[in-house]
Order: sequence, then C-alpha cells, then structure tokens
Amino acid sequence: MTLRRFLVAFTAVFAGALAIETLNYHQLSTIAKDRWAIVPDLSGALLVFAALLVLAWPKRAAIGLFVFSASLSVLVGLAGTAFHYASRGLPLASAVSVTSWLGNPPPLAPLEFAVVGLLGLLVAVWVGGGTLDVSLPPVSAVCYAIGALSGFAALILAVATALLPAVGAITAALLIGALGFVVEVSRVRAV
Amino acid sequence: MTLTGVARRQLLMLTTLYFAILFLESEVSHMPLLSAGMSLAILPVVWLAVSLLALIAVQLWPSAVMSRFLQVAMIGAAIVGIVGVFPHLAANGVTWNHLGALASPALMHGEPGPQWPLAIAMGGVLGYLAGYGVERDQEFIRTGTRWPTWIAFALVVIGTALSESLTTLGWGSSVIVVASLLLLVITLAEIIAAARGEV
Repeated sequence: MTLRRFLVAFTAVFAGALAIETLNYHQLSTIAKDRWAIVPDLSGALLVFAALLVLAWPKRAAIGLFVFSASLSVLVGLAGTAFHYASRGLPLASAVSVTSWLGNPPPLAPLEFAVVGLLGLLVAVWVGGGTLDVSLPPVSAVCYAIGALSGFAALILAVATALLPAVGAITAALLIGALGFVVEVSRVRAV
Repeated sequence: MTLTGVARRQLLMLTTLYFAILFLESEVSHMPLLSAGMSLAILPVVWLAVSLLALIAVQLWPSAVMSRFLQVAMIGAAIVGIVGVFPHLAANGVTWNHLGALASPALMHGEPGPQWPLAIAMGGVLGYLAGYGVERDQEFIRTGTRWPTWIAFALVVIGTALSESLTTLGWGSSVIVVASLLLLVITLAEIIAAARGEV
C-alpha cells in the first residue's frame, strides 16, 4: 500500500460522496428546468469509476481517464459556482451582502468538485509518491474491478436520469471498493 | 507512507482551500442560528476557523510544533464532523423516539443535510495526512510560499475575522470567496508545474 494509492481511494470516496449529494439535490425537477444540472452527477460518477479503475488496473489508459475525469471535475466546480451564483439573478455588486451566500443553490458548494478534481490531479502527477502499480491480492483486484463497473453503471444510470438507482450503484461501488482496500491493507500488514 | 515535499505543499494548499469553502458554507448557514439562540451552532464555525489558522500557520512557519498543532486541529475537525451529524439528524426529525425517520427517503435531501458535517471529517483526514511530519520538509515549504500565497492567506484571515460578526458577515464571505478562488488558481498552477517537472 502506497500513500499514492490511498489518496486515489480517498479521491473515489470524496467524488462518490459528492456524486451522491448532487444526485440527491439535483432531482428530476431541477434537471427538467435545467438539463445542465445533470453534468455534476455524471462528473462525480465518472471520477468514481476512473479512480476505482486505476486501483484495479493502474495502466496508462486508466491513469489517462483518471486525469481527464479529475480535470473535468475542476471545470465542473468552477462552472457550477458561476451557475449557482448566476441562477439567483443577483448582480455581482450584491456579493457583499450575506443573503448572496445564503440559501439555495449554495454558491460555493460546487467548488468542492474542483477540490476533489485537484486532489486527483495532485495524485496523478505526484513524483516520488510510490508506484500505483503494485501486485494486488486477487480479492482486492476483483473488488476494485466490480466497484469500477458499478461506478460505470452509475454513470449510465445518471445519463438515463435514473437518479435513485444511480445513488445505489455509487454506494455499491464505494462499499465494494472499500472491501478491496481493506483486503489490500490487511495483506500489507500481514507481510 | 510519507508525503514528499511538492505533494505535501500541494496537499496543504488544497486542504486550506477545502476548509475555506467549508468555513464559508458553515458560517453563512450557522451564524444566523446564533441569533435564534442556538449557541452550539457556533462550534463548527469556530473549529473551522481554528483549523484554517493551523493550516496557514504550518505553511508559513513549518516546524514540529506547528505540525502537532495542525494534527490536533484536524483530529478536532474529524470529531466535530462526526458529532455534527447528530444535530443535523435531529433537525430532520430523527430522535430517540423517532428512529424510524432514519428510513425516510426524504432524509438524504433534507435541509440541513444530515451528511453535510461529514465533509469536515473528510477534510480532517486530508489535513492530518498533509501535516504529518511537516518538519521534514520545512525548508521546502517555507521557500515555496510566495507572495500570491501570502495574499491568499491574508484574505482568508481577514475574511475569517470579518465573518465572526453578523454585521460584517457579508463582507467576510466575499473576501473568503476571493481567497478560495486565488487558492484554487495557485494550487492548480503548482500541480501543472509539478506535471511539467518544474518543481
């Protein structure tokens, strides 16, 4: 277990939590009014999928997808902040009023997507943080792979706006991935 | 499992950004509760401010003492985050006598969200990792802190101070927003520089 792999796993959990959060708050009623509201749901699910894929199969293609997903998350965070602020119809001049930052949609909440994206990028470019490519116990590899598939299923379900099943798929991805992580850590401890 | 210089500096900066966002979200939603007599609502606001100051202090004056200070602040943040779930659950009608409300599908998108405080606990994990053994990289962290970072940190401190009063909360929030965006740009620039092998 390297710290770098731990941070990839942490990125998956962080992105998963944000994806569940947005899937819960960007409900169908929101998406019906603004179809772009689906984008953070997709971005979170994609980052979960990519992070678990890197843990299962840390090859160039998977890391490339992880970097893409993390970069997308940064963009979603920045654009989301602007959209959340603009959707309240407040002029920039009113930014010094506390009411500009209170209530829904929360203007700064989307920046958390940028934070998780930056965390993913940080891990991806980290030189000297240990290799991502370690020999895994078969149980861990299988758990990560199933977790990644579940993350991919969540992505498809979110595209189809089946939001509740998407939440279930992300939750399953995180739980199965966590099981793989526990097995990986316990094997290192045993060695 | 240890952090190396560049990644540690980036992770410290990223955690500072994350806590600035959490602080702003927490203060704008909790400060009005104080005037309604809910004095415990001040706890996460105060602890997030302490955590922010600890994160900034460890980057400006990295040492073993600051590392311990940060670790204590981050353990506190993790506790505040986990404990905070319970009042949020209570605000959504979950009490000892109404545990059945836990199964309500409306719970997860309630206001306030019962899961929101857990974000503070996650930040605590990141900050603890970033702060562990800072003294090994103190020269690297000190020399890597340049004037844009100083400006961002100054804005965070000013914003935090202004946010402690309801009358200046609006100004404080705006200053924190500017500081957060600046921290984001600095962190992104550091990551790009690291990817190019420039640091």
